[in-house]
Amino acid sequence: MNRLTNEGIWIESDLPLSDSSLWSVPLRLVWAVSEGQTTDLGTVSPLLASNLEVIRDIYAAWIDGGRQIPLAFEISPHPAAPCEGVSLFFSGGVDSFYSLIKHRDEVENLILVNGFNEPLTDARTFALGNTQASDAARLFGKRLITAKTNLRWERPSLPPITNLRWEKPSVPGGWFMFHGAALAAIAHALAPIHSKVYIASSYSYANLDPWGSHPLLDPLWSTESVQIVHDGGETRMAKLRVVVQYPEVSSLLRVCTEYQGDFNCGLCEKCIRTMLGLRALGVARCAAFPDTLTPELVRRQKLNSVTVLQWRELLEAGLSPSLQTAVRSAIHSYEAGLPPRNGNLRREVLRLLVAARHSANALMSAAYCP
Amino acid sequence: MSRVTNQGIWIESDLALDNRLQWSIPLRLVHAVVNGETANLGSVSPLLASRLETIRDIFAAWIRGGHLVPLNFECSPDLAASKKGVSLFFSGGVDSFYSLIKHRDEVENLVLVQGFDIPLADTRTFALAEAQARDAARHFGKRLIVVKTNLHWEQPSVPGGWGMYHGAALAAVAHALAPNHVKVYIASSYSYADLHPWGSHPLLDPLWSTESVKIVHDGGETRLDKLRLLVQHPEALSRLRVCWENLGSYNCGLCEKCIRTMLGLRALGIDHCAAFPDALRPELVRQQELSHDSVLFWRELLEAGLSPALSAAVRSAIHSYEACLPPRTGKCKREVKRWLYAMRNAGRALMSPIDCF
Repeated sequence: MNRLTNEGIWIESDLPLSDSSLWSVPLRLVWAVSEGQTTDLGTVSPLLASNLEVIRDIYAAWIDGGRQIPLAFEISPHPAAPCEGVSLFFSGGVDSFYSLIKHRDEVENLILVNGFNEPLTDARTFALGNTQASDAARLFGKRLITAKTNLRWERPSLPPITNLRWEKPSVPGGWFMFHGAALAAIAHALAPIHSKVYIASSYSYANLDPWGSHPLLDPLWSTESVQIVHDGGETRMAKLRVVVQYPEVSSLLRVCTEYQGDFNCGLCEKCIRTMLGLRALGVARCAAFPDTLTPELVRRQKLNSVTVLQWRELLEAGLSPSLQTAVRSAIHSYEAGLPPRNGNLRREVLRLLVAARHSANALMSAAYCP
Repeated sequence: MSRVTNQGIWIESDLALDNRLQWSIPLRLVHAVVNGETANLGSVSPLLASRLETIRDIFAAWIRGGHLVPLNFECSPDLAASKKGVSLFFSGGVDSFYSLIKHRDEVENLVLVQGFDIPLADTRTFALAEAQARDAARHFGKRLIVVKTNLHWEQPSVPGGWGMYHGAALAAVAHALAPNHVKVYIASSYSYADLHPWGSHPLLDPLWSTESVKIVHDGGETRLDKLRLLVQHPEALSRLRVCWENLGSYNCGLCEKCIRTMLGLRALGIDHCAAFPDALRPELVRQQELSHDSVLFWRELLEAGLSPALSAAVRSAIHSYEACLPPRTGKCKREVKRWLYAMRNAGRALMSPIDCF
């Protein structure tokens, strides 16, 4: 087992790891911006060095309270030569499988990280994910690489000032403002096994809101030896359309973030949304999901500003009338600022009360003081 | 006078232009995505060729009714038309001046385009803009390059309009001017905090680069940060031209963009700026009608340290936008109209739980 450490953060893998400290630059840069403290980033490759100011400016604009701190670093006179190999970060969801299928001729390694989607203490969930990723790797004839890290969950004891960052494991905005930098750190730590790493996109190009892994940000973490590619700004429906052409893939899908024992709970918003997409594409039953999809379950989903974009895609996907109506209801509840319907009379009363409050606010607004 | 033409589109300049058709690729690609026709792009440099699919995917996602059209092109080596030269597109506004000051040691040419902001027929307003740009170029010791084109006003527009198209148009002019530079800065429109689809965008602009002309999207700082730098350079401040109204003078002092800029200057302690008439009153601020795009700049002003009267007026304008009400004008008729709008909004809110779903 090989291990890299820096300021209490460690990354482990069975495979050889980079002998430079460059892997931790993304983490230290983001922390420095969020804490407003100048950090010496050490030796940085010329390509990454040329992008550090832009990365800093992006994070300063994105993170609540982020600052345009001065950057201290030295440019490496001899950047490391690239090694052979192309990798893809693989969580087993729609985005990962889509990028794997799209680049199946090029990608050689699938990277699964223990400590990203599940806490390090949750060995059971990781074992399930690992089994599924092994199946996927075998199916496509790729090598599965696992890495383990504490960078998301643990709070090593550090001197008082730096210890502040461990009060929150990542940065303001949480893991999803940070996970792109975390992926870049793993990609650079694994530099001896690849020259190019794909990160499957989270969203389509139509949604470019601040998000830790982003088409604007991910490629900027590249160095001369490891190119980082943000892949697949297609819509989720377009991705699903490709995935359903491979039945052996759709049965391996793992999209759920609830982890209630099985891969996909079939009850959370992400499961429901994916099952709706599959249903719209004519897949009435999929082995990866329990048979839970009913209009009532769809209607009661609580959406947010991000998920509603993917629900709107479903409106034009060709669902059955009853599911279509339920999707419209969930979207409408979000847009009208109402709690979603759940079939209970009490909820209907609550919806009326909330609507009355909105109505009173609307009336008051014309008389608002300025 | 040199001139390049392609499919009825022309670009003219006193300086040498690149007569290879590569300059028109950005325009043809965007129109193909809009029309859903195969994009026949001809010879493309290897660097640009490697990014065409991404550009197409972005426009297909951004443009209403955009299509993932097939791309038809040949990859051919890009011969550098120039070995040196750095240019900056210069409209004379806050963004342009900010990027000019930031890169003043590197930038050699300011590029002003006739037929972008100002219609080709409006020669009077363009003459004013040109005089201002020439003055700025002289002051900063740069060369002014004037280019004329019909690509905006005499061509079919794309869904989303000029705002969705102008990045491709800037890239086309940058490539047409290839004999004059190796790098071109495009001053950003918005900060990194606001990445909504927009024709000139930090994600998109650099993708138009070729081996011979690198295109850089510059300055994702906020507008107030940019103004903060400008107030340290009174010579830039007195030459600002932000107004879109083209009323014959530089800045009308009455439109939303003028008011917003004057508010920013006031917040930074500039009570008087030669480029703007002395028209800033709370009443004028309050009655501005904001949009989805402009409200972002106004929210920055809330924390900028304006006087209580101006700050309240800014809040009023933002509130009117957010509450979907017509802004206050001080007139009784407008107050009645606001009440009617508020009642309509209240009625909609009350009805919302009782819909058909």
